[in-house]
Amino acid sequence: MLDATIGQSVVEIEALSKRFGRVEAVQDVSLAVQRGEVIVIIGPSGSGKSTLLRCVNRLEVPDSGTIRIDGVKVTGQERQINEIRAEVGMVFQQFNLFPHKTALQNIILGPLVAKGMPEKEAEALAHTLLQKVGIPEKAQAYPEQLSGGQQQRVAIARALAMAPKVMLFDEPTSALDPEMIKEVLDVMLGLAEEGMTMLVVSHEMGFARAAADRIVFMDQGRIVEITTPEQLFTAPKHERTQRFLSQILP
Amino acid sequence: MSTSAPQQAQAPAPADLFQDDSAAIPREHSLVVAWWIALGAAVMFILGAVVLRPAPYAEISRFIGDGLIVTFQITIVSMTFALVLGLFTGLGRTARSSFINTLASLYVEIIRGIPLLVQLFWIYYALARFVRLGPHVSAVLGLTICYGAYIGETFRAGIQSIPQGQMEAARALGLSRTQAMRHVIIPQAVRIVLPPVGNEFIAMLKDSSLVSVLAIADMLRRAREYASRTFDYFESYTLVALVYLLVTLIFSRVVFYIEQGMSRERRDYPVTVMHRLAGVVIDFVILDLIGLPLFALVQLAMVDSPATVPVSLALMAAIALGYILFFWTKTGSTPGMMAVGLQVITAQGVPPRLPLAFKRLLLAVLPVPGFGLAFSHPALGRSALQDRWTATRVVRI
Repeated sequence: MLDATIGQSVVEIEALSKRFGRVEAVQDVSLAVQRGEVIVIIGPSGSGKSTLLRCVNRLEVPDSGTIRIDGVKVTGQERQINEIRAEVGMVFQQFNLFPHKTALQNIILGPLVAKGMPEKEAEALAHTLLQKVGIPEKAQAYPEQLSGGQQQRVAIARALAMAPKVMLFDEPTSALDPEMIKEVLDVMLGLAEEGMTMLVVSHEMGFARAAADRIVFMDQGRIVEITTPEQLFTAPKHERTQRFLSQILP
Repeated sequence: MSTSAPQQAQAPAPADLFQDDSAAIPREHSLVVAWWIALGAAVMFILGAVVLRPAPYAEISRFIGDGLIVTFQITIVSMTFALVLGLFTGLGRTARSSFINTLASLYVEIIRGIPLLVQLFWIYYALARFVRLGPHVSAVLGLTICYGAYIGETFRAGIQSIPQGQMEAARALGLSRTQAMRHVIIPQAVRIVLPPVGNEFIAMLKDSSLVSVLAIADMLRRAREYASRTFDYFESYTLVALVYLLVTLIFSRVVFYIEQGMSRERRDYPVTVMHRLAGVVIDFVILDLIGLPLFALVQLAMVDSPATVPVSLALMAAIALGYILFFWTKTGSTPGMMAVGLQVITAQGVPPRLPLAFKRLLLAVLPVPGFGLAFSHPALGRSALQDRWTATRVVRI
């Protein structure tokens, strides 16, 4: 696969802290994501998983600590942020598709506006991506005409259209009906197999088992342990992790 | 994968969308009925009075006819400026810069705290110590500044009603704040604020009667002039009230159609840029190359009023604004509607010495924007033409 490039950090988080008022959402978190690596972040609600993810592309401004994307330190400058965000794809829990645009228009907006790609080229790219996420026939459909699973797949295609170096998934299946979760996870599994670097906040243990290289367990804003799927499911080290797993696993 | 997925993917038919909403139907229905009753009553009373007692009523209606045109002209010009001012105010109120934000908020707070009548008096009489403004300029200035604040609040509410996730998704793609506003937030906000802005237009139409205190010969002023000569106070003011009612009812319906048209359009017709471009080009040729010179000629024929030239320029600006909105928001039927309204109203401003047939011709030829779209995109064109037909029929009454 991409063995030659493995070993180089695409995302490097160092001593990151973020507080909302009195709540310490993220405390002193460090994590390096290697190229081609899939990391799944789990933890109880309010443990800071989403905040950590949102700090990576600076939807939240961290209070302290540094983040490097592909070796470039993320500063607060407006222009640099836009460039960095273009390299970091993000998929949201609530899809956040643009309701006034068709699936195709949703996908081409980023390349067209942020990258200045010619419209023809962007549209060809969008059709390829829709094919990839399995809904080529929905190019002209508006989000409200699509099921939740289809919307989330369009959202993934939209993020991929920017050819990101890393993809962030913020609980991508939590807002979906059970029968639609699989179609989204299948797309994510496909991406993982292609060697996409992914940082996924999710409680889909089946996905974690199948795709994750490492699993990060967070609680109260801190990383409790970083482990492999095998180890997590057979012998989690920490008592806190055991308790959490006993609650979410059947 | 579940077998039911393709079925769920189907969008519900438009009819279902309305029928599902069982709680809303009775109210909507009674509103529609009330509208018809009010419209019928207004038309009946006006026609009845003019036909059965032509002695004062027919004469009054001839006398206040000019006033109605002045009312429309003042309202449309003021509304055009108020829309621009309101958009900037709304953007200012949602801006991050605390200076701009404070400035916009201060404007809104101050203007909303002073009655429009007092503002008009102040601009016309008090400000005269420093600059002497004519009555028309004062009227337009007063209405613009006052409604700019209210419309600004409408725009602010529209912008803030767009979920935070939309901005985040746009920013996450690498769009700057300005790009996100332009491509994602404002197009959605415009759709939301269009009906309330339409209602502001109706409110302004009614409030424009206040400018009669500045010696502008609007409908109310004309009625007063007539009554003070003949002492037919009851007849004059009753007719004015009925005409205001009629006009307001008609415009409220137009706003309703716009509201419906916007939701329908988005659901049913995906329109590509090429469709839109072809539509605009054809519209431009028909509406602007033929329509605008015609309408300029009409305006030039009305040389008796010195206010005509700025009014014409403002109307042209309004049409241009319509096209910009059209392209920017990618909606479809608004500028045509605006243009039709403007053109028909100006056509009615033709001096009486021109033959009636000529006026009819103007009415028939000018309301054609929409043909362009009909050629380039049949489905959307049809809906646009329907809207436009509604508009012309409505204004012809």
